[in-house]
Amino acid sequence: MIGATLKSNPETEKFRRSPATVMTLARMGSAHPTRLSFLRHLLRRMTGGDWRFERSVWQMDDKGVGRAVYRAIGPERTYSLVAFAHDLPPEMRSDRVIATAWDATFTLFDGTPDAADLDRLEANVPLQEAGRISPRELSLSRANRSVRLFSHVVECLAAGQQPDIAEIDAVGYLMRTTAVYGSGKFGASDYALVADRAELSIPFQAEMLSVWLTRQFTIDIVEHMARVRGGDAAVPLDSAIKHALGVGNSTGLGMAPYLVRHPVLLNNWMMAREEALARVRAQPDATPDAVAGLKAAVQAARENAAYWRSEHPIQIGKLSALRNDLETVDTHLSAWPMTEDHPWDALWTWGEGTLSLEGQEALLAAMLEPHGELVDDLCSGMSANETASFAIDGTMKVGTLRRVLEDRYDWALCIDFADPANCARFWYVSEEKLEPRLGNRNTEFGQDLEQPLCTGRLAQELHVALADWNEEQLVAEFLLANPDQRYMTRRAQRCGTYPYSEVRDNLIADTTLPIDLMRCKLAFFGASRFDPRSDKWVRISLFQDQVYPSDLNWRVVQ
Amino acid sequence: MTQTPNDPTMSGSPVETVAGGALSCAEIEALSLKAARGAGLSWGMAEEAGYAATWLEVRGLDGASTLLALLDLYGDGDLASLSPDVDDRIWRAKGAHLCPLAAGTALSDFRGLGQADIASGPLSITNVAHPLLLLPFVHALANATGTAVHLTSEGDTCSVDPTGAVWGDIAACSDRRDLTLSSEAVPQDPVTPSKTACIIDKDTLRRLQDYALRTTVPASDASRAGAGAATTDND
Repeated sequence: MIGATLKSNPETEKFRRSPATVMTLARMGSAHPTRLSFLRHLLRRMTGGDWRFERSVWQMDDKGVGRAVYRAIGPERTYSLVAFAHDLPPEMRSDRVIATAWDATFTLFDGTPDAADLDRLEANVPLQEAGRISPRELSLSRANRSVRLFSHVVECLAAGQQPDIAEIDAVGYLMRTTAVYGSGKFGASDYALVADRAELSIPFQAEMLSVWLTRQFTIDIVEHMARVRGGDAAVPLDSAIKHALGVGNSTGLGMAPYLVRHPVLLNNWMMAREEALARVRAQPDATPDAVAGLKAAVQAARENAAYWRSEHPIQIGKLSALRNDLETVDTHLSAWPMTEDHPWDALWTWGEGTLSLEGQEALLAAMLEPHGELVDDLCSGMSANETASFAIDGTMKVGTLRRVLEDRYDWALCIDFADPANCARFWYVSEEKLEPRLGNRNTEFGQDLEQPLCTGRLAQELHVALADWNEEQLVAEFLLANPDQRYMTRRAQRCGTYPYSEVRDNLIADTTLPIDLMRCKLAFFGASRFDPRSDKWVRISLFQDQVYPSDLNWRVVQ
Repeated sequence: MTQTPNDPTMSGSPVETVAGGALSCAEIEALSLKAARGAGLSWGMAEEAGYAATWLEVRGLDGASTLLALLDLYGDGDLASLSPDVDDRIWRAKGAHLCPLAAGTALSDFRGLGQADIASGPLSITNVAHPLLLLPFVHALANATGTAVHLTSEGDTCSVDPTGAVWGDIAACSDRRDLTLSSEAVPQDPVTPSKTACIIDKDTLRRLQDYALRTTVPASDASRAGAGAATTDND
């Protein structure tokens, strides 16, 4: 268990940021992808030389309707992205989870599908939530075209020309996924069944592989449509333009509660990242290679920030601060390192005192970048078995539980929940789509069906319920008399063991921004160009500027 | 919804939400949790229901249908007083009969403590409804003691060892029972699964889904707007 390992490392512990610093919504909502992100981990494995790739099926008609199979063939196992392309009328195209039709639908198959598998999948995958997949499948997803850019690219390529770079930069992707379902969803394999495979032991590797292969599909389908239209005049997409394209992703509220519902997983992600930063800061000196690597990473971050666009007022402000911060960092680095002891720690301490939260988290990502050998092994601690910590410890004394609350939920115990502003919202699940939503407590129906995401208020209620109990009494006795406190008792005990497991902010305040939770999760995925379209849904990009399978050991089966 | 000749949602044969195949553990756990919450259990106890139903289903035991039967009892208001009276060597219901989730979680909570000590002598748990649902929690007890725990009732014995394997005759856990828990070794054969793991019959599934739907809020214009886009998302 990562927590146990890390606690026994006094060398780095003194450099580690506290949960009180890290686990606030404002800072989680400023998270940047790092080299520990799941997408980066996947690419390290895929580009390591052990894997080859092929497009084994391409049955596509002149309307771009048909199916394709992409295989990732590893040393032990093969995974196949099965793609179904559709001809979607414009009026049906929507990124909302309430959509019922998409431009393309996908599943990641465990192995190589035969014709019967493909027929079974064709009867189900295009239906998405209304269909049914099996334990042979590891993910279920769909994507819509960026209508504007897709059409532009098809027209240009068909005419033998390359698309306008300004158009490419303005959008950044040909297609965007609108949901990528994984572990156990709609009949897919439970994660526990495949978690012992090296290539899937880090979280979200199947989902990331599926999106990476989807990125290849988006290029192949746009070139296919260009050939249909232009015939011999059509040209393939220029390599540099191709690399500037990622896969977009559009994500709504459904993702927001995930980190609250998987506390041990959240802890392990945060703990890995924080230990990585601590290891970098704990180094007594800075090698020339690492200094050069840092400066290159800061330059890359500056370029990324220059292309990163948003129309959301909050994100516009944060982006402006980020660009200024990165310039400040750049200037600071011209005279760094001096002869100081522990130069990385000095750099970090300077950044903490100088930069906005966006800038600090960007600096963190840049500081990890040249330190693969020092930190990449931490990825192995980022998965979690939530079941292992499910059972409540009834032998814990009431006094101990109370101290956990006072230590790790101090932020919650001081909130005045009688103030309507502090409980203005409530999380619920919609009957229509069985998706999480956030309602206004004063004006919307359904607060009696509130989901237990109001962790701060629940912690305070538990603290009140414990008030009359003697320090020496046992949690088992307390729960026998207070079965309703079981939920929060479990959370609090977990937080006692896993200090980064709880978001230390009120999730039902009028000021709560659900996009902060999404930003944090998406950064751990490796998403860039975070672009909120409201405080409840965002667009991001995945795999932008990264390699394609077709850049590696690749073949197309004719 | 407009149907057009190119409507991709119509490109396959009609498929029911669940076509009679196995559910994933994630689905069973989520459905059981929501159903239990929909039937009125607290969130923490509903989590235990999800855990217990899944634990049974992966072993080919009737987790989902037994949970459904228990939730139906809740509907009757029969298990209003949840927690057992935990006295020396004998646990009793406060109401007409004892909820197996309440008794089970108490067994798990008191593992290693005198109240659930079965090493120094048998422990009686009386009048338990649907005692099959006790087994996942008996597993926790077996884990804590490091030895198999035996449930005996009306001459039938069923055991759970520390690895979570189930032995003996599952009849010991049927219906409503007075049970004795002990760590005395009784030689037994592996239990015969009563069904195929994780396949839940359609009626049970539908009725659990009905309970689960009670946790959801009907759609309104406000809730649809609250899900995300207020502007066009099609560009």
